Amino acid sequence: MSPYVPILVLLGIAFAFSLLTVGLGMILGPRRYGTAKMEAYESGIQPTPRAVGGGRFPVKYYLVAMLFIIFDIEGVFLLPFAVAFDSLGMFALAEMVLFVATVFVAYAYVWRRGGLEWE
Amino acid sequence: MTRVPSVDWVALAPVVAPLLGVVLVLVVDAVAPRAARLARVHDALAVAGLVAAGAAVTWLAVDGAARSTVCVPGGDGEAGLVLPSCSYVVSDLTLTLQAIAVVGALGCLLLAVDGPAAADRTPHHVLLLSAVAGVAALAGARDLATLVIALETASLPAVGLVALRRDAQGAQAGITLLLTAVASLGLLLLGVALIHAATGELHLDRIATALSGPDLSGAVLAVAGLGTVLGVAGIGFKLSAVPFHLWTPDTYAGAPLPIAAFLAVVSKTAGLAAVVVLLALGLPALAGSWGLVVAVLAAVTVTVGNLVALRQRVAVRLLAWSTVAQAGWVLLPLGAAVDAASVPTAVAASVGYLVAYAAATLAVFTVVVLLARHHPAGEEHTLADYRGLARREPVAAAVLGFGLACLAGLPPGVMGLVAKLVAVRPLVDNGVWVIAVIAAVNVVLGVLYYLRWGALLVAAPGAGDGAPVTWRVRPAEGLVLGGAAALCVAFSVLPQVVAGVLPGVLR
Amino acid sequence: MTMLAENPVADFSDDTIWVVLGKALFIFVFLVVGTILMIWAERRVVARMQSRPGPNRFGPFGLLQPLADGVKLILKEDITPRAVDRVVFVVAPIISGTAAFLAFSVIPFGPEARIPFTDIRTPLQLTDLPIALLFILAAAAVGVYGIVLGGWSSGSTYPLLGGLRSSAQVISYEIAMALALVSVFLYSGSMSTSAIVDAQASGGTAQLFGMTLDLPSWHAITLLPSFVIYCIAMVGETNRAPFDLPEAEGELVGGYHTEYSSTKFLLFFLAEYVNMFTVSAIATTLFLGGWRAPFPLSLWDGANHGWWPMLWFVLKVAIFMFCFIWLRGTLPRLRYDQFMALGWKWLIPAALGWTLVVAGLRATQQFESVSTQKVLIGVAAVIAALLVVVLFIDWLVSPEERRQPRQAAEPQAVDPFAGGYPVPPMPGQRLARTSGPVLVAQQVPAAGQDTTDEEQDSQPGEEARRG
Repeated sequence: MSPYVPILVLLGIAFAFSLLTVGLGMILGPRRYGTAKMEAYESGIQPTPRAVGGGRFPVKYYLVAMLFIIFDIEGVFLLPFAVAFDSLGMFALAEMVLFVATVFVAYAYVWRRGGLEWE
Repeated sequence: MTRVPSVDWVALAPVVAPLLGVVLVLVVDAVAPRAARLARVHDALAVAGLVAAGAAVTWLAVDGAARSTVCVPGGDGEAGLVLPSCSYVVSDLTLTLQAIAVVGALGCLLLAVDGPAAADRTPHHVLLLSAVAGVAALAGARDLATLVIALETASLPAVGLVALRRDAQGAQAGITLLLTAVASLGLLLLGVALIHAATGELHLDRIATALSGPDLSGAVLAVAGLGTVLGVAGIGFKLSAVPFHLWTPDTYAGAPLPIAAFLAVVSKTAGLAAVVVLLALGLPALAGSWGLVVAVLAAVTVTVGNLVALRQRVAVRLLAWSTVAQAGWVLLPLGAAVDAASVPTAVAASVGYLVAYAAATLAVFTVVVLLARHHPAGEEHTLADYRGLARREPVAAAVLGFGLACLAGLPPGVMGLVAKLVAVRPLVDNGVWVIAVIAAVNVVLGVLYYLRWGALLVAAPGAGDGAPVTWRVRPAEGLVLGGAAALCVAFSVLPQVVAGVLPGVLR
Repeated sequence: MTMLAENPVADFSDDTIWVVLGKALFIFVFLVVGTILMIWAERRVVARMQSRPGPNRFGPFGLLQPLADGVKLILKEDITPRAVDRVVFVVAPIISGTAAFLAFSVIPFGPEARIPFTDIRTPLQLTDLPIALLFILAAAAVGVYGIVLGGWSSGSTYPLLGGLRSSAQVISYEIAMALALVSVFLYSGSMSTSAIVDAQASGGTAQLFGMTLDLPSWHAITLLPSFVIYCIAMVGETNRAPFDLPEAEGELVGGYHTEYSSTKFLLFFLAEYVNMFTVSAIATTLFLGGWRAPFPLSLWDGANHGWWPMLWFVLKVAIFMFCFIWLRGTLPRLRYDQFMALGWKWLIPAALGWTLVVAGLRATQQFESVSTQKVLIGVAAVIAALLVVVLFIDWLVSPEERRQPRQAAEPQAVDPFAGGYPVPPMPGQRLARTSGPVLVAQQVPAAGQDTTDEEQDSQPGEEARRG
């Protein structure tokens, strides 16, 4: 049996449970109409229409996502390197130090240019 | 024991040198961000990175040894002996393309040195050098993965460079370029994946072997052919070949001028390098199929580019459309390939044309940059603003005129003439007459607008022009102007360099 | 060169589909019951920390309280506000609720054991992969989709911002987490969970006063910095106090699930607690020796056989869970900028640096050509070169530029009542006056002039109103 089959089994159980729960709530819950209840909740004031369909948000999150991708790719290289470290020998160590140093330079640049500040 | 690849750093020097420059520029800026005093240090480091890359290319060319690195060993495969394959190979083709990219980038960097504000200098230099490293890697790439990654490294930094103008127009140009780059990456990846699926190989020489086998099923050929078409389309975006050219005029007009020059010279080199590496090295067996596709693509590109350029009044937009047409010319010889045997001549003609094009374009762009700096309309200046330039600035006008003559292929621009002849010759030799005739018509079209521009230079200044501004040419700009002019003259005196660029380019 | 296990140590080849189904069901029930107990424990423990009794009505010690809450949630109205994207609004909690369980499929609960009343022997682990830890990271990443989509589809401002914050938080801390794992992989030579537990079976030995001492084998001790980084990152990753900014009720009401009610909310809630179990179980497996018995118990031979190890595993997980509660009862919430600064400016560089240190140490142990001396010399050379570069560049920056004092902006005088209702001053602004809106028509103070005293003189009624 493929080692992935058990994962699919667990996935099936969890998915069935989630569906069942959502379905139960839809069936068992009461239905009472209320205008205010159907509005978006904003602590009682008139909801801002801005948020509908995605809305606008600080571009800073985009920068975080970009930085995450850079470091995630670093992880993509580091994880297999770590597993194969003993058999790769000094070559891998030297290459990885070079790689990490390069990423670190870019990281220092981003930091000093204010890319990590959150106002 | 996991196999550890060996790395030949000397062979990789043209790729590594610009990247070292990138790291050093970043280190300096990380220690002292936005220090105005260090602007010269940034410039010096960036220039040093490019000069080092140029020196490495020269050394490798003089040394002449066949080098290759990051190889997988051969062995006895199912179909007999398998030769070792390498991901990066130093050949005449590699070195020629790298030389064009490095020299072109050096010119653009020197033109831009006083352009971006001090705060933007680091990003500018870093992006520019990264792109050059990408082109250098692309020229030597000999497997599909390296090819794709190098091409993206060469083209994505251009998005940042274009957007550095930091205004609405620059942002629009940047977004246009980004969307184009992403879309073309998708096409290219799909094409490359199909080629890989058809052959099961990643290295181009092995793909070539796999596709030249005697008993290939039709399905394999169909998948590989579809992959080839998609790949050509993906790279066509980078080369701005019609119908993938629509980003070109807006991006050129929205980018800072030196960056437009960079797009015209270095990005075009990247595009051609990708086409040549993929088609000529990986798929020569399918030359009969892609030859036709490329021929049609090139013919349409040349014609559309020239026709639209005829109607342009703004200098930058005319140059943008002219580069579209010239991209068609660069592709044209490849369209003459009808079988594997005719590929090397076609590639030699293409690369030869690229050499001539790069030198002439750099010369023309330098003068346009200079005029834009001294003209109230800036980058929006029109052709009419060149009226009588020969009387005010004879040297610059002479360089511009000579560059235009080279682009048009008119004497005294012998370089351009020879390049065009060389480009058409494979078409004639292989009997692709329709395309050859279209090419001949386009020579005339091109001459029309280049000549009109050139004629303005020597025309009498019109009434209503204000007092002429005396140009103050900065040393860096003077260097580029002189260098580009010297290259144009040298290639015109010794056209055999362009003509026979390296017959053994595909050794 | 020692040959380390690169692939799962546990052997699953004899598992039939029934055994797999049973184990999967067990994991599911374990997590759901664990969640119920955890909610109860959290409320009771936090209550004790605050000198309250906590829920004590339903069942012994109030044990049935979470069940009652669950039943109540199911019977509540399932509100779907008008502005939501209907499909995504339903899909988001299902994604969260489903993905949360996945990571547990590769967590080892124990070694091979016999299923009671049968002759079947099977590892107490659903399955294992050569890339088990990558699978866990991937499953955790899928959970983020639930949060982002839930916030986005609600069509409301608070959930949108909460979802963004939450995802930014999770991905920021995921980097530090992954980097902390690298050193574990370096030492165990595998990403398979069973192999990592196996690698912590025995440490080295040391000779002290003629006695042979077993050195500690847990990665929590040998790789302490990694353990600390992982523990911080796992709290950030699960959005728990003191890092529970996505649902900072003072700013964002409930965060990404503000618009959710009834069972959809229940699923988000469940996912949050299951995620806590997941990260605790990973911490146990990677750093605390997994199901292996702790030191004094490990002297007993039977401790690592049969069903006992599952007890050790659950106890270790329980300790982590208690720490989650403890943190919540103790620490105030961080500000968002402090939180991001902690992740990006402290954890990531620390994790990177420590990874390099571990790699260097490992090299001295594994490769004959590398001696400790050489590594030390190399490190010293790198640091010296860095210092020289930094000092040189610093010297290049002109003295004027360096010593130039920050031009302190002249504080700008603002009228807090100019807009009709009071507005607090921005940083760098100075209040021009402090009295109420009555003044607006009467007097507009000149900028830069301190008028507070005059106003208090001329407006005695203001004092009276304030008092």
